[in-house]
Amino acid sequence: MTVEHLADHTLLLALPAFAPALVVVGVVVYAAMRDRRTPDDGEAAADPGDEAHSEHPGAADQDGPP
Amino acid sequence: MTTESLAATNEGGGAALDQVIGMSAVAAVVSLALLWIGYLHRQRRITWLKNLAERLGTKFKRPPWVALQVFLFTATIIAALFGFIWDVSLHIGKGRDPGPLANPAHYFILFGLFLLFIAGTLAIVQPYDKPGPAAIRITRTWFAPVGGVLMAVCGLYALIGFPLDDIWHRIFGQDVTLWGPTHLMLIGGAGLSLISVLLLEYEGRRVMPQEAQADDTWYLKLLRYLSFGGLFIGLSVFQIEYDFGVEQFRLVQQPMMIAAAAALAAVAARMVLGRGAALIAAALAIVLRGAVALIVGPVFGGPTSWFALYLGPALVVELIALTPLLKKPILFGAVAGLGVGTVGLWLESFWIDAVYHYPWPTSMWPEALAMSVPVAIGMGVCGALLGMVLTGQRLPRPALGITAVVVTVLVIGGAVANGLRTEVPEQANATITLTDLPSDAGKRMVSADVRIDPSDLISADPEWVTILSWQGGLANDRGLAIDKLEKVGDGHYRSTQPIPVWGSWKTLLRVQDGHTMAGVPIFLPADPGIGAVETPALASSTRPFVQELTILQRERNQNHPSWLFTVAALVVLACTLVLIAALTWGAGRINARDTFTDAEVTPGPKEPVPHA
Repeated sequence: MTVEHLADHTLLLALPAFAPALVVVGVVVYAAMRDRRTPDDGEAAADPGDEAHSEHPGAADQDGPP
Repeated sequence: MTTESLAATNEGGGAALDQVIGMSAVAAVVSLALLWIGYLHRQRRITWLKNLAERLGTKFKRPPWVALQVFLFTATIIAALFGFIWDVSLHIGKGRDPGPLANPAHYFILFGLFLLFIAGTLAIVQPYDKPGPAAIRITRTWFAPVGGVLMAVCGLYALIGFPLDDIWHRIFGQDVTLWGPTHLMLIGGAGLSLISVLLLEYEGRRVMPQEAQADDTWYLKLLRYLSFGGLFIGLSVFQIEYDFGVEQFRLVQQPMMIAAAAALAAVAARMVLGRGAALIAAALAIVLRGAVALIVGPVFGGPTSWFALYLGPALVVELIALTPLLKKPILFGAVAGLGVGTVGLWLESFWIDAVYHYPWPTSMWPEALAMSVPVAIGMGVCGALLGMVLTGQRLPRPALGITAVVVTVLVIGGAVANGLRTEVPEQANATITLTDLPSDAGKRMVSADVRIDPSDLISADPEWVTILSWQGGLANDRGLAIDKLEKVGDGHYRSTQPIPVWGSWKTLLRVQDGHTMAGVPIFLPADPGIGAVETPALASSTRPFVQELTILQRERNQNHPSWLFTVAALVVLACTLVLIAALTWGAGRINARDTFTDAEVTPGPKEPVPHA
């Protein structure tokens, strides 16, 4: 088993390459989750206008952007 | 080979820790800055990002959430390609290196893959308005383009390769080959990201007013051709070991991989950009790969590499596209794939025979065709499906498209599995007599006389009987020498050039003949880093044939239960299937929400300049 450790890495070394990406994904997923937990009427009423169609998530809306 | 030491060996433990702290600090600052910019942008508290993207968008006639990203993507993917080829060449010439950043090529790979993820994330963060009908809802006021999400997923998949690579090496030791499963994630994520950028570009083009789409300037056209050239290159990343002449797997995999890449890229390019596009894209791929090979080889003094030309397969696709078949895209894809897997490969074989170390022998063709033709037909159909999405033609029922992708993945899996089958002959030996040649002090060069027992072990037309010397250091003839042995009688061969057996060179006899694939060590230096003792270059030695991987990958640790290897490979496979599924889903989603106005009004896209 000594052989194994001599030319080997520590997991620590991979973290800088990887952790930032996980953090970014985490933040985006958090934003999405929080939005889905918020009751519909509050924010939609506060921010009407061009995003109104967003109240129907996943629907096959064909309107596209202006 | 790419990253066996992106994380360091303990031989340079101290230095490696410095590098980790430095990299972690940089990564933390960069990610905090990016998160902060993203937050301010979504809160509409800064305008410079929006202004910058809009300026680029106006110049490139694309929405702001496409132009900046395509710009970033192009820069990052070229950097990653360059770093990747350079890294492979360094490892072939020098062997593994002492620290994660001891090898300058690693900066390019890290930068490239990280920026690939960032480019995708930027496409997600940027749009204030809903970016096209297919956009994915994040919050009720925040929608992300499908191509951007897929680009980020490709980047994330590649980045997940880093820690998995590390765990892999911890368990199994360093596998000094490109075809380590985790290495395949790193390069596969970057390679497949080309599909995501094509989808993002399409989403962006689709929301532009008709008149803005019609008059693409010359550099916009060039960029679009270049993206398909990139698709050729992206799908070729699995061949790189073959390109350097140090493949550790059977030669029969090479035509299959070339046919697979060519069928998808050429069919999609021809369908999307019209007559000549497959050839132009292949030519642009040659320019890019050629430039990288030129810098890495002659300029930097690394081992030279070649690359598949793809001109023959592209020509075949162009010719088939002249027939009415083009009006039935899926049938066109299948027939074009068949053409690529047969005539296309035959044309490509002239180039391979001319410049590669290992020409394709006649005896290999039956198996090569049996593997390549089904793979090429599947990839041709997938290319046609991609082409339909990118030209706004309605896909057939989702079940059909999904079935096509699943069948293609299974066919590729079967072909690769067959290609991985090898046999090591039992009770076969090689008696190797070395004769010293005049050489500089301390740099022993020899000629070799090889007698193989039994003498009928190797057929008349083997894939290769060579002596490979590698990892000798870039200063010594680039650290790589491949000598195709001259046959002087039954089972009797001799070398044709001086063979290095000194210093850090690793020299071995290699045989591949059909399913037989084995090697005999000639000289292997002592390697305290892995506790290996020297295999001395004796004046005369008789050694048995062994599995080649045990010589080529001495670093590999065989000290683990075999089920663990299977489980680890399955984890990597699962990640890969998720990525392919995500790309398929994304393309399907874009198509399902497309409007199909022109594609259904015009009878058939004979010259499909989409939406013009």
